[in-house]
Amino acid sequence: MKQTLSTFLLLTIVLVGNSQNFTSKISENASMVFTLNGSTILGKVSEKQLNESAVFNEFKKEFGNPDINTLSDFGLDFTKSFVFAQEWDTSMNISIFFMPIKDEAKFTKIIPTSYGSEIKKEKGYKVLEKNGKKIAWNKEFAVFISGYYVGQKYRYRYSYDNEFLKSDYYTENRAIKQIIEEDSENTWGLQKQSDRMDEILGLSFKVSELDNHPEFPENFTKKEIQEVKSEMNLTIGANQADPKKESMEVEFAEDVMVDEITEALEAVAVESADEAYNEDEYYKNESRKRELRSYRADKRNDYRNYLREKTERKRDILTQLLYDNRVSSVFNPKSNFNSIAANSSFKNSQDKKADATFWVRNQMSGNALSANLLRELYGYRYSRMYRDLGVFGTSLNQMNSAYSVSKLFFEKDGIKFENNTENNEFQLNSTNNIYSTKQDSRFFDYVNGDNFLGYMSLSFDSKSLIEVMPQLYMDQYGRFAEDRQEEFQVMVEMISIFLDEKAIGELATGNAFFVLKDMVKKEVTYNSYEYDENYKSTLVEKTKTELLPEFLFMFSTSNEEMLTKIMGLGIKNEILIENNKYYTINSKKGDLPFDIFFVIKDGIVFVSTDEIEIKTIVQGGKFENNLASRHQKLVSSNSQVIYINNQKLTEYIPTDFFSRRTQDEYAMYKEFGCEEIVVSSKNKNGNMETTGFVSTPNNELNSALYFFNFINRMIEIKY
Amino acid sequence: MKNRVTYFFLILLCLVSSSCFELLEEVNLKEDGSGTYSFTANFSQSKTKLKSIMLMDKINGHSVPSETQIREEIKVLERLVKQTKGISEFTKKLDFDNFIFVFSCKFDNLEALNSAVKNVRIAKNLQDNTHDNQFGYDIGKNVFYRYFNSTFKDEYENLNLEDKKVFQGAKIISICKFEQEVVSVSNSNARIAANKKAIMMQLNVVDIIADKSSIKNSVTLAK
Repeated sequence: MKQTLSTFLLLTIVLVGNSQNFTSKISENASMVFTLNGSTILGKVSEKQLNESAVFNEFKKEFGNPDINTLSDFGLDFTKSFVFAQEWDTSMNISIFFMPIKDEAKFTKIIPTSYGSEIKKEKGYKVLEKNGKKIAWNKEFAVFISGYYVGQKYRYRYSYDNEFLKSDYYTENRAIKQIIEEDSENTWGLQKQSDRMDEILGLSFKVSELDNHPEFPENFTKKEIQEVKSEMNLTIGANQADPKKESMEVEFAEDVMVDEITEALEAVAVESADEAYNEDEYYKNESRKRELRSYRADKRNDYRNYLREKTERKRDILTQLLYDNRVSSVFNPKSNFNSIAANSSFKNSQDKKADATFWVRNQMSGNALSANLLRELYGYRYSRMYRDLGVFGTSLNQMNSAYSVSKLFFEKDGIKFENNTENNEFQLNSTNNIYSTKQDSRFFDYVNGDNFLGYMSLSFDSKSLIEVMPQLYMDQYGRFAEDRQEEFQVMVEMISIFLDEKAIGELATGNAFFVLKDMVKKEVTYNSYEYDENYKSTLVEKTKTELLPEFLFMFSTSNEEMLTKIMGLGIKNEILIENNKYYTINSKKGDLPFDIFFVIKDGIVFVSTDEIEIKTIVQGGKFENNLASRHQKLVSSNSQVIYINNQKLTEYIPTDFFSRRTQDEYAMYKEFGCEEIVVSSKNKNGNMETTGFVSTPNNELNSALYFFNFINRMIEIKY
Repeated sequence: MKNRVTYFFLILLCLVSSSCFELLEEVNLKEDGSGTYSFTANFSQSKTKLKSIMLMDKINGHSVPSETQIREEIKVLERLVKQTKGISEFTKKLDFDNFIFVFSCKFDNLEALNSAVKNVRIAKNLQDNTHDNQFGYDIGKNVFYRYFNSTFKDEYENLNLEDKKVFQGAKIISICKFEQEVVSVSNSNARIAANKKAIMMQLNVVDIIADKSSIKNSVTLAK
């Protein structure tokens, strides 16, 4: 908590600025750029307030450097921009963080203390290195580089095809039997037995000598470095050639290993069954076999480890060389360096008024990320990824868009968040088709003013969504297997044939409204045991009061008849109970934690936890004071809205739910807590525009100061 | 968005509903050292919360097992217990509506019960053998032993707050019934029944974990 809060301070409140142009130093292959545009924030929370805050105090303690007393002691220039970017290529994922410097002397004094290593001087900049990460700086700015290898060439794989490590269980087993016959007195040592085995197997080398390999020196040798450079076509320094791009070949070495082990286990099973049974002799021979196999396995493992270390050293050398290259290109840019600044989407995303901007490129095909995803796609976590990237999991807003731009604004009366997608042509058309609907205004009649804790409104054309879904999946997953495009396309067309978009679209048109009305106390039963004087237990039913949510969910349908038939099936299978004109899902029959009632009326399906409400709807009851006009406007002008009345909701979450330490924080959260949270999104010419707004109390000058004070209070309570 | 709202709703339900449970063990010991054992895990008080949790994939970063997965896991345990020498008539009653799970068996001697515990531990690849010996009975001295060493304190401290809350309000009830009368008990939390042939301890799980109280006991029986 401590680290999170204080780091949060430095990353979201302190970092400021907009003048230093770091974007020209970010590679065009950046997949993400995060800019903290804090000159705007510093106008909202002053440096003096920051220096005196509990947050900064915590940070000072954490940093542990006695020379740090104020922000300015870092030597950084908090009036200029700080930019964080992630760059992908086929070999590396590089994280690069640009920080403007105000006082190089101060910075140079502070940084080695935390890095604990010696500063090296390069052409035009100084550099420090720790655990493979680098920080380099000149008088104007510093750059921090870290990352990890994502390529395939220097990724160690189980050396299945290596001739020195290859072994065939059956052949070796026969050879061992022969050795046992030849050395029936068991006088040969393991090495001699192993060497004899090599002879029998006709190997051109001795397994017993596999561990006779050179030891690696602590530091990388010139020869090793040169080998990597030449293999990757890499040179260091200004005007260097770009490293050779790796081709994407993903092997699934682990599977091979598993197969091999399974094969061996099966062989043992077969062998045990066929063995002529002489207990003493059998166990003696088995023991000799095991010993010899184990001896040879150890030698091979040693050699395997040698190969692994050799590969990993090359990987580390490459990583260092690429870091060096990248640092060098930042301070001594090549004339042909292509920066992200030329990308029109990125250029347009820059907003001087935004306190922070987050630009993300969603197009991942052809880079190293997709190699990772490919592994995921075919790995055991396939279903997870399916959900994580899935259309509904993330809503349709960001399906496959080429770019996504998010902005954060600390406004006077709240914190505003904006996100816009930049869709490709297919997505533009799809979004236009899906999100050109308007919410069913009849829903408004069943909501009482603004007497609720929150709601969600969703309006889309389900027919268009179903039409586009197969293609969406094709786009989502097909790009990971480019050689299977044809198969994917056929599959997509097949699915389209089977899906009756019109029929499904009629069942649920795509207009839905969920309102969390209240939290009500309800008596629930539970079972417990009671004991008599001799401790004989009896199961008894008891009751207790629980706070349960009360909601109403409505969705439009154009096919009441079909839905009624579906209800009939539910009744037949005893999942549903038919009451007088409405239905009940009994919590004892279903998996739900409470009873649910529903009815289909005038083309709307009503689902509620409140039986009286459903009965009223059956009788045609509506609210005269329907959904408050402010919300009607919001819902009617957006495709999706989530509204939470935070103040009301927090009243229902009991303080005693939290541990004693957290109770104070929760009480403070309630006291300071934001009033409302609104997230809405709408279609604008085929792109989705999402806005989030957290309204803050008006007792501060602006929401940044409110947020800052909130964190400070949290820290004061905690420590 | 739809999934997120469902999750928000279920989490809200988890927040406002309570989480209490009771674990009940009952040993019926005959003079010859044989007897019956039953273990009941009663989560009925938390059924609203558990039903909500069962509709989610994850809670507090932990995967939520499905009913099928739980049944499978119990089947494995059942097989291990049934295979233990000296254990017979294993029965189980799994009530997923009320979340009450009852397991019982007969044992030839208490060593057999200990072996069952040990078999489960080994099958689950657990290294800590502190809890292998749960019970003991010295026929010569007529003393029944309930062993227990609290070793969970550190693990509990390392849990996050959300996980710790699961144990708040949870109880362990230990009942031991004998053919002979109870002469004395070593644990001051143990209450002797009116007929003097049973003892009961009712303790908070959190206190046991924190080593503030224990179900460890030795019961001297009349000769």
